[in-house]
Amino acid sequence: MTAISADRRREIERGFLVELGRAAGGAVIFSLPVMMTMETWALGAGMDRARLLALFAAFVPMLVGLSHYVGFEETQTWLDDLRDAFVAIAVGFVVSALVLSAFGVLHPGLSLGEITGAVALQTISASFGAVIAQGQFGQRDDECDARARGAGYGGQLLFMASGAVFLSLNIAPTEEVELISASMTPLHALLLAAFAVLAMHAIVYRVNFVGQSLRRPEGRGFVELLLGYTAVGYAIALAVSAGLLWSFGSLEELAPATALRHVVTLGFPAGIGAAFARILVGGGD
Amino acid sequence: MAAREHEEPAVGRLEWGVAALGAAITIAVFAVLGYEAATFEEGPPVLVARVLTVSKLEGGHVVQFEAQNLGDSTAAEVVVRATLKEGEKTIEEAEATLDYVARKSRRKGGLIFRRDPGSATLEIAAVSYREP
Repeated sequence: MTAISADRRREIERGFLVELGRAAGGAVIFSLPVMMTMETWALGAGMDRARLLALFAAFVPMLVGLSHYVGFEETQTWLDDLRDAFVAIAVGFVVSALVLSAFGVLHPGLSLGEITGAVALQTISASFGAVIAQGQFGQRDDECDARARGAGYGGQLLFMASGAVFLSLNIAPTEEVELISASMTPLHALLLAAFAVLAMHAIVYRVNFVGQSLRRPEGRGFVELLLGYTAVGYAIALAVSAGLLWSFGSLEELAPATALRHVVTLGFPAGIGAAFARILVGGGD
Repeated sequence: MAAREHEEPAVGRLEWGVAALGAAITIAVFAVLGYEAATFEEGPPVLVARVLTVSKLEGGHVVQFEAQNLGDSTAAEVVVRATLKEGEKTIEEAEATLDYVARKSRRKGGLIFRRDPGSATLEIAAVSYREP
């Protein structure tokens, strides 16, 4: 440390401030849909504490993994990833607290637990936004790009899970999930599931989005890709949906078939989010 | 050392500081939620309503009240009813529904009376709720 000149140190701090601003921008963009969904305020404040704790506990390692592949600067070690994840949590938490206060959702009449819960729930999507903003809006260099592209199978699955969480987090607590699921017949549910899988496959392998098109890798058959990536991705989307609905208490006292229909309903946006995350963040297979 | 620092982006004190803040926030969230989970007791919400202010305005006499939930469970659609009584006789009644009163929290609302609540006995209480 002593070898670094004062100028260099100022430069480092200034660079970090720019990153911090970028992260805050990403946090706002990614979490506004969640922050402006009224059900999430009440849920964060009132949902079962053990389940909110479980949700938050599952989110922290996910964020560490995500910041390993994208995120602030090029990370070298797991300590760097951990530090980046905590920077993202700090940014996400502060942004969420500020925006919720500006909305008048947080006020002195609430208990500490209620405030903590409401902000913690928003922090999940805000922190994702803080990490992703760096990957998408930051100056990407080749090395960083190569890292995301060389993420490997585990990395791809992590991207899909993150995308699923991101897109379904503000839909899960709404009444629409229950309403849509109630108006579907079993045949509708089956078609929705099939449509979700086909749409995911098409998004990743068939439809070319500018600069991010993912063509079918050589030497891999349709069935192999469908089973190895798309089906696994859909399974992740369903697992994320089930986890969110369970933690929000939406599956309580439901018959197994009804609960599954809820999960399939939410699995649609979760699956689409998973597929897009793979081409946007993952950048390849 | 200095030469290598130019090749790799170094980590400044500010970044470590923000990361430490993030770690502290995470631990605090776990602590608060964990404490709440540990002290949670199953049971009905305990709803207490009380009058804050009475003001005479153009639309009538506005009674501002506060409903407090002292219990561990959250109540939704809490109906607060106030009755104006002269002796045993009810002369006016008004009620308001609060969407949501979380555990250990309070919410405010208002009731509007045509008569001056100061001229009689004003009783206020939460009369119903549903589980969220």
